[in-house]
Amino acid sequence: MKNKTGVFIFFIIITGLIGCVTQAKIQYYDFPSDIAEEAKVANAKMLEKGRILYNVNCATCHNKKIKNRIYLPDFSSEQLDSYIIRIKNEVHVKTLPESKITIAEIEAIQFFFNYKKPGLPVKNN
Amino acid sequence: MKKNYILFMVVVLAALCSISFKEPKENLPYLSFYAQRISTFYMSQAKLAELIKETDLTKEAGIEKIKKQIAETRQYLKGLDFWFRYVDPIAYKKLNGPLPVEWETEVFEKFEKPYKREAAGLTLAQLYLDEQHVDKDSLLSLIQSSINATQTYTVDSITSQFNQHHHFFLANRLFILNLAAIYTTGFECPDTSLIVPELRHMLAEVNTIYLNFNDNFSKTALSEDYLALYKRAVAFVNNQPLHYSEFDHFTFIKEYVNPLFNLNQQFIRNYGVYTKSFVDYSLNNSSNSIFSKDLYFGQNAKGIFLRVDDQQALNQIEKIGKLLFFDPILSGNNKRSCNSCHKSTEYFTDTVRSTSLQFDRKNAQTRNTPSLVNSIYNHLLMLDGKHISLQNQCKDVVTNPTEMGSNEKDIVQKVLNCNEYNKAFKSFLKYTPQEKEVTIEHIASAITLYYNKFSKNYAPFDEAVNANKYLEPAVKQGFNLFMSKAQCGTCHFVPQFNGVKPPYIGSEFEVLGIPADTGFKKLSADNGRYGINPADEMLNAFRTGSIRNAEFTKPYMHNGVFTTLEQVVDFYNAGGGAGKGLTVNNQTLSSDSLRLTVKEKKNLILFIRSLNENITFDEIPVKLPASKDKSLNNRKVGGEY
Repeated sequence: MKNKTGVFIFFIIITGLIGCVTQAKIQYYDFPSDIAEEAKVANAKMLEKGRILYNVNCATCHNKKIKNRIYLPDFSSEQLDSYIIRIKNEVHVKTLPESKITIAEIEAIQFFFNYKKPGLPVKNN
Repeated sequence: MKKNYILFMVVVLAALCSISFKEPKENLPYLSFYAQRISTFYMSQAKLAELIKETDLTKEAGIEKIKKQIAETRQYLKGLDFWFRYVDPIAYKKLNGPLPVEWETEVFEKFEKPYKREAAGLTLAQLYLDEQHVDKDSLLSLIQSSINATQTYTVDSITSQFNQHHHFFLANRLFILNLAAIYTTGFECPDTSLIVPELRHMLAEVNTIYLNFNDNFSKTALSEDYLALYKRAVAFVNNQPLHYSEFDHFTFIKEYVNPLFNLNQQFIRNYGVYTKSFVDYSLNNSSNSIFSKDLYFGQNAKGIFLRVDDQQALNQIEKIGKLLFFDPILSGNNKRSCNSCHKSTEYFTDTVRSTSLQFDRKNAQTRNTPSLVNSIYNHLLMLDGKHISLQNQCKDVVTNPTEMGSNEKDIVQKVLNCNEYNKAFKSFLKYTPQEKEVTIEHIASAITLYYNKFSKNYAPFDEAVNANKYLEPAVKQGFNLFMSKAQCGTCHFVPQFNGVKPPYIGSEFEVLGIPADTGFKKLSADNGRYGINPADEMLNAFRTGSIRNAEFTKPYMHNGVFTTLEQVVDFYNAGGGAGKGLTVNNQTLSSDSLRLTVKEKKNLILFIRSLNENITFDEIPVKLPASKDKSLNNRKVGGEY
């Protein structure tokens, strides 16, 4: 009996922890109010992928340092346009050719920046 | 009406000249030089439109008069081709498109639906004049569209590029690539007697552009070496026979065009030339030969591992990819592998069956298995262009119920149940920080990395161009035919000889009228590209394949209907399906006979054989990784069928 209660308590703690982690992720994004909680969690997974791909491919040039804290940039919707990213940006033409980043990966990064709250520091994210 | 035109022309001319006319005429600033050529072209088009209006189109003499004016207008266009094709290739289709409607897939937006591009202009007008009944308004609208499109080339976003040197070297690169692939083949010149004269004229016009550019951009000028070589190229063309079938296409490309390309690539690198145009999207600035396999980027063989550059790491991934390629564990019944249809001993295709067996082991597939060798040089994959990436193609096959009949979940689980795979893929996760777990993407990417190592080899023809190796005169004659009378080069473009033409950013589809069988009684029932893009023009259209290694990749065409190269050449020689008497309403191949002689056909095939690449194929693995599921450990290397 005692053992079973232990397992139960352990289970509760674990569930709580997972919940917190997911919550922590979700609160950094601006989701439209009518999106269901489950959809937010599903999106958070995709957004996390976009965030990591941003770190791998873009952060070196695009992260901003303000008073010793590093912040994520806030891009306008025009800056996030595929044509602008891929073709019109003369630096990207050299640094981000199709052989280094796929279209699907750029989409994931665009997705991340579309939902990210403005002015986020890198550390908390 | 005539007054309106003249008024319009005067206004346009004034507008164009006002761009910049400060300098005296003999040494025009570069932009004014461009503007002046546009206004001349403009006036010639307007004159053509006027002539159409006042000419009786039912009379032969009238038609001839218009043809003459079209030819004259084409000359002015050829003076602008150098810039026009580069600075706005979409508007160019309205000036001189080869087909009334083209469906294009933008390379940087591959995932979007194909765009419809309606063409107009001089080539279509000329072809239209050969039809039985010529309607004045239709003819006029072809020219009017062209006049309207010409205005596109005077907008600020285009003319502002003329203040810097960047566009010049990129336009020049496209011009050189077109010299190799398009300008000598009659791609947009229906009257084949005009191909060489137009080429001569264009080369002279470009020479003037070069000199004007050098006058105005002395810090980033074309070198003396380049200009001297160009001069020799011009002299070569001027000394060549006037008919494109007698023109020495091989020497032109090898001795002149390709070395010019190499020099221009050096300018691009040394002058810090950068692009803001999708035209340059796939081209590689480091490539030093048109016949180098790094000329353009078609497909990403590494898939999800694309940012891995360490050769040792790539070798490890490739080793796993090889095992997976031969492993039937990827199939639903553990009896089929990639190698079942793409046999590694047969250039990664099936040279025995016209179409491979289905998963049920009874029925045959509807389409011939394409060779995987050189698939990397396509933007769209599969005979219908269904896929935009090799990895998507791979995932489709393993999960397709008629092919390997599995599903993503089972595949990942069965693969990870094998210790060797499991250990390897877990260690590869460090290359893909965005993925926390091993996915089907990792598996597909290892496979595509493996088989693409066979696409990096060269053929005797490449080595003749690149390394000056000896090539039989008959092979050269075969190539010269390929680029002219046999009309192959207008669809199988230099240098991959597939459907990817300069600037190598899209894949083309053609309707050939392929029969269901060699009895030529009826057309193949396969809709082809229509299944993906249901447009009338795409009915029975198939993606143009490469003719590299063709000798070893039989049978041919989408349904594998032909088993010898001779049959294929005969089919084209007869004018395709329509030439063979089948009803093909939208055939993109001329239905006229090519009238090739026996010797010409022989030389053509000799040339095709010179594209057999020097490939060393792998040994088949001795055994496959053991699974925790013992029942899977008797699976056959390469699959059972």
